[in-house]
Amino acid sequence: MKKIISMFAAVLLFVCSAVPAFAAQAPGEVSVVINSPTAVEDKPVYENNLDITVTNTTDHTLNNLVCYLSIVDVDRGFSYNVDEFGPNAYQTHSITSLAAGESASVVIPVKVTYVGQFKFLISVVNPDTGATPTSNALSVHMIATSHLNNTLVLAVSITVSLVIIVGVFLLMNRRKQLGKQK
Amino acid sequence: MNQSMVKKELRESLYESKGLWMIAAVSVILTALCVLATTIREASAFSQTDVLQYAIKAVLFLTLMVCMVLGASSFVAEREENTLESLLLTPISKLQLTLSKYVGSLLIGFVLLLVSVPYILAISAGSGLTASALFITFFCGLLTLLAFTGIAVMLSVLLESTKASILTSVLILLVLTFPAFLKGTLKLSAVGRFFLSIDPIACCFNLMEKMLVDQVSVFSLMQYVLPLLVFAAIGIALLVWGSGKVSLKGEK
Amino acid sequence: MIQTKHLEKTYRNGFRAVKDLSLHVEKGDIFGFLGPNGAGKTTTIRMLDGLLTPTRGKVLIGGMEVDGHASEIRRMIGVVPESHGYYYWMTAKEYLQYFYALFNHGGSDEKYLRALLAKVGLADKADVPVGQFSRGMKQRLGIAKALVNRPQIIFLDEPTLGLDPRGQREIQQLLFDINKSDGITIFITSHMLKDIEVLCNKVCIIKDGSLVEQGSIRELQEKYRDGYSMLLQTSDNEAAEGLIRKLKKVARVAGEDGQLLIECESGLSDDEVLSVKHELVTAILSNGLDIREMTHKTLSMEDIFFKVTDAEKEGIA
Repeated sequence: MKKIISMFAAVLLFVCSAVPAFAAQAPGEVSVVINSPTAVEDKPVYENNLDITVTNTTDHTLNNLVCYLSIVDVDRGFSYNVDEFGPNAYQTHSITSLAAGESASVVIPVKVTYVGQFKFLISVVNPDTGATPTSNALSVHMIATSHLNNTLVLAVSITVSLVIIVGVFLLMNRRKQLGKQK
Repeated sequence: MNQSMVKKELRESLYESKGLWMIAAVSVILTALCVLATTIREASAFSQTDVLQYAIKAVLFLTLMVCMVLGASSFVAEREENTLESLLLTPISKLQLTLSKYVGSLLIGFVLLLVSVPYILAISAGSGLTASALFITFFCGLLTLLAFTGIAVMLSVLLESTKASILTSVLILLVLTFPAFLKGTLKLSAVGRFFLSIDPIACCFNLMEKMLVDQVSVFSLMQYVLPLLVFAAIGIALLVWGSGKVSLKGEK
Repeated sequence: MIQTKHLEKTYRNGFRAVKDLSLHVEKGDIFGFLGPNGAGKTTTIRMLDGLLTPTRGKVLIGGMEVDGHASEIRRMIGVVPESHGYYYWMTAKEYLQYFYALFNHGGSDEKYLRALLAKVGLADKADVPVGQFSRGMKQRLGIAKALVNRPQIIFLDEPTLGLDPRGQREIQQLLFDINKSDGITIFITSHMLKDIEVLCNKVCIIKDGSLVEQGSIRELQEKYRDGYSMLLQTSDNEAAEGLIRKLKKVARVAGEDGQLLIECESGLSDDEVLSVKHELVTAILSNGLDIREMTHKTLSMEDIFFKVTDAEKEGIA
């Protein structure tokens, strides 16, 4: 019985460590927490620093951890190129070495000009193991200070175009007729 | 600068060089961009300020493109049509001749900037940024027009075919525009940052962003204004230098 | 009126287009500038009108050096270049108005411009776009444009090139009238030797950039005449030819287009020529032949040209 259970546990362990997803999940390797802000509801342009704490929850030192920001637009259902959210938001932040049980602080400056409902997520990649734990999602709600008046923009743009095209046609026709008369 | 010549250049640009159709085409392109901005889902993520910036960028690019094409064909077309000789045999100086053609092309650019006004007013309505947007359009527009049109006319003096002249002019515009769209990458190196600091189009974009997004006064943005002024001066200087090279092909 | 002194032009590639050209044109002359293809005619005209800078030598127009007085000289001259382009979208009147404004600081004189168009025979085409003009009409418009600033001299480079005979005659008559009525000095280059013969009172012949002959047509005819020539048509040219061959002091007899060309020996005095004519007439009449026509044959421009240049017929009409 013991042999069967130990063999089964060994097989299970082998499978779990062999499958990258499971290996990556390795819960408790690193914990990532966005300390501040806790939530954002503001108008563009919103500039702030995201204070993040990365804690090594393993019993050994972790090296060359890479910390980065990703952004999801909840309403529209897509994500963004991060450099559109600030001049330095795109940069990854490295933690050269994190001893067991220790925490490191990371600051990522962001500048939000878009409007909508977003989730900001901080991920930490361990290049040795491939583990990518992710933080709690920071809710960012950017309210438009003013809205594009779609009706006005459409009406004006189409009207101006039509007026110019018609005007050009009339001018060119008039010129042709004058030329023929002569 | 000769008034009769400027009138003739303007008439020729509008009617014979299809300038009127170019103005119509620019308005259609701007309308298409407005339709896209107001109808597609992805564009709804942009705040009004972002849409305004994109509109001004489109206006600047289209205006510069049209004026560079007109400027680049100004002298070579006269040479190809064998009309340059008659002009050189009048008492008009080469500088007057060159300036007249330059102003003829610039006026079309000014008309295009005026055509963009209703679009900018509509897009910026309610944002409180109308005055800034119009200022940026005309300030950046006129300075870049002065520079790029001057370069285009100079090239039309020096080069022997319309094709070569137009292609070279457009290439110069593209080379100077590209860095502004690769800001993220260029920022990573010292050379890239230096180039971004002197590139006129990048300066236009930065000026726009600072004034519209961060709402900073133009007087605090001299680091972006000065390169534009210097570039405009260079363009005009090249034009004046090029005017001395106006000649028939026979000289060779 | 027009003077060049040891004029030379060497292009940047080393080609010497004009070599040591010294010519003189008096006020009121219609001066023909002849030469085969590539002789340097267009280069010379461009140096005279100030478009090209000579490598060496001087050009004087109205006593003023072109180098240094370009603006004043351009007000004195009109030019009809060989390859003359037009603004095809302009009407004839607009075209003249444009150049009038360039010469007159933006001014306009509708009456004068209409009179100019009438002078060149385009009065009824004033409001027609130039793009609808025939070649001859364009050339006349070019001449009108050259007259817009009331010049003292007009330079024309191949003005009848590509025109049909009627068009050529119209241009010749126009130039003649301009010269006679307005006293305008005309400097004309042409391949068409007939043009030169009809129009010009003086000519200059160049070859390979160098001046080979200059003078009035009469002087050149005298200079290059071998002997007195005449054309004779009788009731029987063949018989007459035999009779004439026997005469003394007759160098050559040849049939030419239904006539006899008779060349006397060179160096005969007027009395000797008269004596030959008398003997010829006596010989023909006494043999029962009739004389239908007898005319003095002068040396044509073509004859002079070929004698001077020893040229093959290289594009010369």
